[in-house]
Amino acid sequence: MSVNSLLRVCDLTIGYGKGNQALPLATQLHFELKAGQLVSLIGPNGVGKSTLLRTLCGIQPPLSGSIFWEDKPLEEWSAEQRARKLALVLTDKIPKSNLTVYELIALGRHPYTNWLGQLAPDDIQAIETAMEQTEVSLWRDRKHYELSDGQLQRVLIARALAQDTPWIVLDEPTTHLDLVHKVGVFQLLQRVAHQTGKCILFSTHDIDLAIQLSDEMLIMTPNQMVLDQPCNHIQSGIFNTLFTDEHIRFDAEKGRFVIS
Amino acid sequence: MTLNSRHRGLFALLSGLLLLAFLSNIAWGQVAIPLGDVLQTIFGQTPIQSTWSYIILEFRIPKALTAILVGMGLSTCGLLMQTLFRNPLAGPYVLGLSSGSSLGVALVLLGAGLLPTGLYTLLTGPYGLVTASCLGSLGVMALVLVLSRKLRDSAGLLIVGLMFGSFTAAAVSVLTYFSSAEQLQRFTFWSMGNLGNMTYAQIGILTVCFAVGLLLTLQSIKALDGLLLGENYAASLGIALGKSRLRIIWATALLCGSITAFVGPIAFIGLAVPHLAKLLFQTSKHGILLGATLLIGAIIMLGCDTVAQMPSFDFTLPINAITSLVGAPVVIGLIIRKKALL
Repeated sequence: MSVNSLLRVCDLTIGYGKGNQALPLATQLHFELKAGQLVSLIGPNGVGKSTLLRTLCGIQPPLSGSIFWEDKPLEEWSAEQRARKLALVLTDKIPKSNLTVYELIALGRHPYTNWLGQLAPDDIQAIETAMEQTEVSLWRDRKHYELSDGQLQRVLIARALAQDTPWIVLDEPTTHLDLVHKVGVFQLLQRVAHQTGKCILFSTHDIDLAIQLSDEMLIMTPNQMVLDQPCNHIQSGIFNTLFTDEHIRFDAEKGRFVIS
Repeated sequence: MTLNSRHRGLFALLSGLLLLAFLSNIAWGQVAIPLGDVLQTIFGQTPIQSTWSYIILEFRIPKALTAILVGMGLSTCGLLMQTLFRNPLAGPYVLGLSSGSSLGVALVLLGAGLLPTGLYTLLTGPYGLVTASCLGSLGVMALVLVLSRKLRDSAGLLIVGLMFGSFTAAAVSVLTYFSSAEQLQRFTFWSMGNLGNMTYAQIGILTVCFAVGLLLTLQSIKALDGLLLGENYAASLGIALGKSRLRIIWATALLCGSITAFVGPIAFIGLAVPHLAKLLFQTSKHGILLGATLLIGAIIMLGCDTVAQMPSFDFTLPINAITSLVGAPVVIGLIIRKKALL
């Protein structure tokens, strides 16, 4: 195990159920994530991407195997400690409330504030930095439900950045966005990963963009899971095993899927 | 909690209004007492007529204090429930907590005759009623929470609350068959809601329950703020969901249960007041909202009570009728405008 390993997974089986009624989605998973990388998780619908993310984050227990955050098993981290290590951007709808953009981002400072949630100068600094990085400062006083999907996504990423954690997990952050906003979110994530040395893991269906912009890709198919750089994935031909539909084919030269 | 100038101004305004509502509530009634004499009596001097002193000290001040506790407590309940269920239409009355309390009280007032004498005296004492009432609202709160995980939409949850109401009404009518006319009368008067008739000792018990409920609420402020983003985000921020949820349930059950035990089921205050606070303060921060909700709750309840015993009437209206007249339109308005916020 290298020094800057943030996440290490050994012989992991993910899925639902317990004991005899276990319904495994993927077995024998091994991989390791390091700091300063943008890692995309791709795979067809129903292969278990969300389950994998939920398991890695500790929202859902694994069926077997072990997960290490840094050098400590996941189950030994308390909820408060976890909140200082991992920030999430989920697909959950945010309930309508009076929260402004600033207040929503400020909630990211919860793991550091006192029992009333009062912001110290450090917290305010972290919020401002996060807003600058994601370029959302202009909307600071807007109510969160007034934002477009693309704007809200940036704000949620800002909230995760304000939480000031070494790694961030995003569940399909580019769904519902148009191409410009998709690219914007990808570039933002790439910039953050490289500039701040955070490890950013996100699931996506935008494979073309993921190939161009991520440092590593975690590819899940019903039979296997491989973590490697995009160019190596292209050479190995794994993209052609991704979808069972005979009309969809991966063009290695163009680096994208074509329909024949 | 840093307050901006708008919030500070509003808090000052509401504090002033509360003082005004308190004094006018004491001054007005079937016998109108001049404000000067009210102040004199409060500060320990004797007013012009000695009967006034008796009315103020033995009747009106206990009633005003009760109104303040009831308004504050029920409104806090509503605020807690709206955020916990992430449902702007949640409140202790509409979701059936008051019905649960009623059932507890009905079992004591109507069904206690079926119990052995020792248990009977224990349950009909002041603590017995409060305990039964709190257990009733706790039971409903736990049930609603379990059901809310299956029913994600507001309407479903409201219908469940309605069903709890029907269920208690049915259970009570079954109990009436086994009770005497005297017991039935006691229960009927209780169920109409009444802020008067409280002794200082009873107010003491209510204050203790309120203080514990408020303390639990204060401890939950940060968790409540986190819950504004939904449970998954709250958990990812390091909030212990199970513990926080339990704390909020205990707070609501204790507040709603103790209040309902003493003054009967009071409608809509718990639902309407948090929305007024959110509308006025334009924030979702629970530190600020709690303060606002407490103040507005006390003011509205004092106001409703003042209306219920208007000087020109020679009778007192049931308090529940007034709060429903004020609160029900607020609920309908919230549903129609779909502008309800957490």
